[in-house]
Amino acid sequence: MVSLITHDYDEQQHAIQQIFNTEGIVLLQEFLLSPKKVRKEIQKLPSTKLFHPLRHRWTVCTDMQLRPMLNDVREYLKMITGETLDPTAYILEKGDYSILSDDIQEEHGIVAFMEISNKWDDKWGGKLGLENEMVHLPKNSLLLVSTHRHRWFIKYINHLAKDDKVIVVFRERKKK
Amino acid sequence: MEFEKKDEPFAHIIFKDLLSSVALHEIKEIIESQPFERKSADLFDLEQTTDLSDEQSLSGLREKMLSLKEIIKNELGIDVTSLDMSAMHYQECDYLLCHDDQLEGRKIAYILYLAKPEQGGELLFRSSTEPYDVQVTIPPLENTLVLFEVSNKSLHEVSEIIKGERLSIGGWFH
Repeated sequence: MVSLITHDYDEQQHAIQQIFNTEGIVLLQEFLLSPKKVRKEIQKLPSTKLFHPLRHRWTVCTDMQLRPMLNDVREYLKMITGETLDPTAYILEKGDYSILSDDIQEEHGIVAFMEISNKWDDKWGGKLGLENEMVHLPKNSLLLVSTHRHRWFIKYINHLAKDDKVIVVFRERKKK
Repeated sequence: MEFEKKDEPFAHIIFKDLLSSVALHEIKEIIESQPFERKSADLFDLEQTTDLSDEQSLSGLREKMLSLKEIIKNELGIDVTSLDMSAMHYQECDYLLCHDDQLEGRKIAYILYLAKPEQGGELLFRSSTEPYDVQVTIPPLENTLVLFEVSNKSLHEVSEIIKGERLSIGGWFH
């Protein structure tokens, strides 16, 4: 029994797996039982502010503690996809962004985006883009995407933002 | 015609009070009557017109711009023969993130400011070797024209509009 995730999803695992295998994409809303708790725990971990004007400005957490902290989610995603996905947390404040720069690495295979920001108003920016398509990621949702290759970005966070945007991206481990 | 040329972080020329006040007023009226379309991508949120190169009412402005060919040649060492033109309108929260404008055929970028926002909307230049700090900040003063050579060094952006609106005509000499 997974404990971080809303119980319904545990029960609907097979149905979700079927949708994902058929459609290649599935959005799971009200995903975590306590997104606030998970977010606060992540925000306590060591992280690094990264800035390259042509690529991104954001804070990234790849701390060793992130994996065990989110192990319930990783296990659930493994049940759905058959793949082990590892998390990276991205925290964006006013003025932060990422761009589809020419040298940005493409994601290969399965990727999941888990939105765990506090209250977020789309007027503040911060939308998720997959190549040139904007995706609405509701609060406390997880978007699971299976593609051969894609690039993603997060729209600029403007001066109206009253909080930080927190997104955890789960990726397949690079195969040796 | 008076202008200021600077070389860092990349060569650029600034003309203040390019047009007469009558001409500026006329052009603002023409631009404000054009249809703008909202454009949104990873790099920007802003409004833009279609290409105004064939807009008859702007022929005087195009001639004025093309008359700068000699200055461009003398100061930047670049021959240009034509230009394209569109208008950009930034509202509160609009922005244009860092990029270099490089695309085939583009030799010189230009921006003529028609309306300045109350806060934000500055043109920022960064060094390609040390891009983490802004090296030059150019406020979008009405009737100011900025020109610079397009290259992998011409890193520039428009800071977010915090208050007011920014209106400009811009494009590239080819």
